[in-house]
Amino acid sequence: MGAVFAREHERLVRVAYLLTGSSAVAEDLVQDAFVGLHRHWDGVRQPSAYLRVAVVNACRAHHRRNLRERSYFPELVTDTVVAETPVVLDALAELPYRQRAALVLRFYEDRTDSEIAQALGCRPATVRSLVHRGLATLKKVITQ
Amino acid sequence: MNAKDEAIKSALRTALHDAAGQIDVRSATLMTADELVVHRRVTRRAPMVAAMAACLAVALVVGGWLLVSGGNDPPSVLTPAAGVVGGCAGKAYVTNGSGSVSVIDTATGKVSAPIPVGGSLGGVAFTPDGRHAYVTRSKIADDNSPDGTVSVIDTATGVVSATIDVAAPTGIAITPDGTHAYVTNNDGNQRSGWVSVIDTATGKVSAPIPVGGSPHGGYPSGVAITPDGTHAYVTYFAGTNGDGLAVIDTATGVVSARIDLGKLSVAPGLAFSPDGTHAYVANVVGEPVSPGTVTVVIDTVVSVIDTATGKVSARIDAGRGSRGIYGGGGIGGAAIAVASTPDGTLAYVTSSFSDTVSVIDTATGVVSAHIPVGGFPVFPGSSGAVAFTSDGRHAYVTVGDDNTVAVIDTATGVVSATIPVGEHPTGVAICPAISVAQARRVTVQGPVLVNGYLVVTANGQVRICAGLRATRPPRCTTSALTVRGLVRRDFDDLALRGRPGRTRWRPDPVQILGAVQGDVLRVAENAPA
Repeated sequence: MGAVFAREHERLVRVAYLLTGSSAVAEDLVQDAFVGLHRHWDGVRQPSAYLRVAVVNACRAHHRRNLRERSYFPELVTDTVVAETPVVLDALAELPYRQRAALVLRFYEDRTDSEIAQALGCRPATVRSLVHRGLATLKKVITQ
Repeated sequence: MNAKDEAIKSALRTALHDAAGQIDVRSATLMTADELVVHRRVTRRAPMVAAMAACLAVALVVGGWLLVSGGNDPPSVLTPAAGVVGGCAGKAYVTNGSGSVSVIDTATGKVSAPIPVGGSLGGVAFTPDGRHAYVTRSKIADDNSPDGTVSVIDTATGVVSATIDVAAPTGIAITPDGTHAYVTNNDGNQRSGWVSVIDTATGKVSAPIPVGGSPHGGYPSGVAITPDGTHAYVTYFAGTNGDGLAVIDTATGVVSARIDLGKLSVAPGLAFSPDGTHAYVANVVGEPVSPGTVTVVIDTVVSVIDTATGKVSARIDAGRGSRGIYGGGGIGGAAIAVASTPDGTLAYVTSSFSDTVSVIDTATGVVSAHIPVGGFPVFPGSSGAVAFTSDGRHAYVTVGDDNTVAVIDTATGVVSATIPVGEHPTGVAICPAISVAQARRVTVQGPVLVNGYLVVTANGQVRICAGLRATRPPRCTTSALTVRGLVRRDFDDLALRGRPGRTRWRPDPVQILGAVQGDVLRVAENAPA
């Protein structure tokens, strides 16, 4: 497991950061994923795939929770901003979560359709559709 | 997929890699299963608690940051008001005639417990790195203290860390490279008077450089170093033969020129324009009321010296036409001083006879305002010293008769605060901002005020640069620091040029207070995870 950690940890934190916008949250969620991996070590055949699914799901759960909290604490919208972000990332953050995740896994991680499908729990055709719709929205926002 | 789609993909790919590359992933090590579980128990919070903690963090960050702002102008100084220890960043030091140094927080105006030095204090100057303040301490008649010293205060601890014997110190200035301190000595003898040069690394004092003596008069008082560090200008009582300003070549330590400020001229304070082309000398001139006495009728003027030619190029009446009878005993410590704003557009002159600060537009040489500040004493050793904050927004003026420091808002020309300090405040100095290049070069301890140009690149990198290249949009010159910890609110306040999603920048310099580590300037601790 040490080898998996050394190989995957840093990259997963960066993916989780792209999915949540907060490095602190990203580190926590990735840590959680490793806890889960450790618990299920005997039953996991592809540790890196397991971790990716766990992190993508955890980030999604974080977003759901965050949306709910934002309605109570509107100031939270600003809590994770460390720097001025480019327009394309602002637009990315506004996408539905699955589109955002598909784009991050495709264009940051360079994952194949089937790998992304596995991480999102959907079919490869759906991944193509998510990527296509996500890019279309980004294009619309940027060329506005 | 057309070309436009490819462009979007490429932009997204770049933005994602840049953003992901910006975070520091802690060099975590794999914990054992038990450690992991314990770790999660300790760090996990109920969602609502986490949300409230996050809120609190936001409030702390926002609350801990004071954006120094004048009117509707965008603030140019970001000053964390809390959690700062050590160094002089954000502080003004005021020397008191009663022997202590008052320390003012320039963001809040609060005065911390005075630093005891003893004797009677006059001039004060910070080293360029802000780690030390040098104050001149003269003996007072009924005091058992040594004759005179220059006392060195460690700004991180606020205690006197070194005491250097200098017989009769009055004014002090430190070279831009921080290696030497020039101290004027006035031993009360019209025919003597000299400058001592202190090696700041060793504390050793040079052989005295005489500036007085017949026919040149004595009582040296003000001293200032040219911005390029090549010359020290020293003012002294001109006597009946004229002169009044000696130019010392800092390389050789000899007086290389004298500039005539007029017969019986007394010039207690002087300052250079930031580009070094002009010196502004606060100057009282007059004529003997009766032959054979030193009593003179005085006008307050500012003599403007062209440093290239060494000639007085203008005399500006700064005293509002007020005149006074100036007793002989007062010579050498007249209550006027001058300072120039960091951008060089204004010079402030204090005038003891009208109890005002006169504002001179340096481009036209016209006095644009007389600001009443309270009582300046006319007796020696208690001068109305002036210092500007490094963003030029405020001027600090010691008001000796009132035991206060008047803070003038330079945008409005109004006294915005009156801060009580010790008895008979004399000198004032404000912690200097350091350049980006300096911040990169030296090991910086504690928070520092870094002066530079802010550039936010298209991929969200925030940098403070030594200069801007004149491209469209501008780019950083090679010397730059990455800035971490600014929040979006700060950017809104900074009113950057450029369009969102492209490079944005601020055309005029900003000062950012933070801790420097390697190539990173961290302006505040991030919210706790």
